[in-house]
Amino acid sequence: MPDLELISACIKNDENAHKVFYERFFSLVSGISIRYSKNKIQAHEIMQNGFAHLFTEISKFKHGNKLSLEDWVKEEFIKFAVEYIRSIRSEYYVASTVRATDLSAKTFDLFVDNVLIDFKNVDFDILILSLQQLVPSQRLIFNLHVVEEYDMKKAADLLEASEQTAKANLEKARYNLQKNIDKNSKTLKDEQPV
Amino acid sequence: MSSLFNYELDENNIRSTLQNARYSAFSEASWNEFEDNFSKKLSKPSKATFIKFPDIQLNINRNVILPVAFILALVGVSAIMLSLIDFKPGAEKNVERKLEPNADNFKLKVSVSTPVIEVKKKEVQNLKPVETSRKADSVLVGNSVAVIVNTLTSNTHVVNMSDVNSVSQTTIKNTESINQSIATPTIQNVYYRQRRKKVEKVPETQMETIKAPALIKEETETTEPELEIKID
Repeated sequence: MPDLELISACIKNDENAHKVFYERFFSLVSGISIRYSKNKIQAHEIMQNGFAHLFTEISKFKHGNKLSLEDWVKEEFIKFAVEYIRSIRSEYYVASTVRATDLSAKTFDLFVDNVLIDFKNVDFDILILSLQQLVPSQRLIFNLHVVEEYDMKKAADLLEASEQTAKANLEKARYNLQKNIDKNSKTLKDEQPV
Repeated sequence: MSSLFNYELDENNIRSTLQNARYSAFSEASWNEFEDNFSKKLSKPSKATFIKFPDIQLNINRNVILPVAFILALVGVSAIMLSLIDFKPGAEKNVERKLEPNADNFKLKVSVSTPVIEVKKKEVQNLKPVETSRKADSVLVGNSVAVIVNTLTSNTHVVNMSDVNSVSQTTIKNTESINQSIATPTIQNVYYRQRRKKVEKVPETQMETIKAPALIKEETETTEPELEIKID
C-alpha cells in the first residue's frame, strides 16, 4: 500500500490500515524500544503505547517534507520513548554515583584465567543487556547522542536538561557501559559449558 | 572521571549494530493484544473531540519561566497587600468649615462657687485663771489643736485662725461645767459644727477618755483631778 493511501486510511481509523501500518513498522519500533527500556516487559509496553501514539499523531505527517514515513515514525517514536521513560519518576530521578575505583581487569597472575574482552566487537545481546543495566538518564543520553547521532543541544532539549548535565551523564554512561560489558562478558563465559 | 579509565568501546560499531537491529518480527499475538487494548479506543471518538484546543508549543527555556513566574507571584502578592493599605490621609481632618455665628448656640456661663460657710464669731469671755501646770498643758493643747484644725480644714473650708482660737477659748470655758472631764475644745467643736445634722452626739458616758501621758506623773505629785482628752 502506498504511503499516502496508508496515511489517509489510518486517519480514517481503518482497522485494516492500522494492521498494515503495525506490521510494517513492528520490527523498527521493537528495536528502538528494546534499547531505550530496562527489560523486555517495559520494551513491550513502550511499543504498544508508542503505536497508539503514532496513530493519533499520524495526521501531522506532511508528505512534502524531507523525511520519509519511516524516518518520521522513527523520530516520533524516539520522542515518545524518551517521554515515557522520563514519566516514570521513581526510576528516572535516581542519582547514580560512579566511582572509578576499579582497576583494569588485566591481571598478570598465571593461575588466574585472564579474560580478554574485545570491546570493539561486542555481542548484541551483551550490548543490549549492558545498556539496559544503565540508569535511565545515562541510557537515554547515550542512545540519543551516540546511537541516534543527535547533537548535545538537541539531546539536552529532549531530556529537558542543561548541556552540562547531559555531558556529565554521557561520560558516566560510557564508563558504566564498558564496565557492564566487561562484567556481562565474564559472566556469560562462566555460564557457557566448557 | 578517573585517569585509570580507558574507554575502549568502538562507538561506530555500537551505532551500526543498534540502528540496524530488529529485535523481533511481527506476531499476531501482539497485534491482537494491541487491538484489544488500544484499537477500540482509537475507533471511538471522544466526546471532547469537537472542542479542539490548538496545540501551542512555546519553546521557552524553563530557566526563564521559573524566574518570571516568581516575579509575577511577588508582584501579585505585593499588589494585594498595597491595596489593603490606605495611604491617603484623612480627608476629614483637613476640611475647612466656616464658622457661622449662631445666637442659639450661646450658653450662659454659670459660675460655680464653693459654698461659703460663715464662721460665727463668738465673744471672747474672761476665763478663769488656770494653774501653771494646767495652763501650760492647755496652751500646748490649744496650739496643737489649732495645727490639727488647719490640716483638717485645708481641703474643705477656710477657717480663720482667730475664729479657731476664739472657739477653743469658748470650749475651754464650757468644759468647766463638766465635772472631772475637760474635752479638747477645738477639735470637737469644729467637727460638731461641720456635722451638725449627720453625726449624733454620743453620750458622755460612752466617750472614751485617754489620759495624757504627761499628766500621769503629776498624779502622784498633785491631788487635783486629771485632764482627760476625749476623742470621738
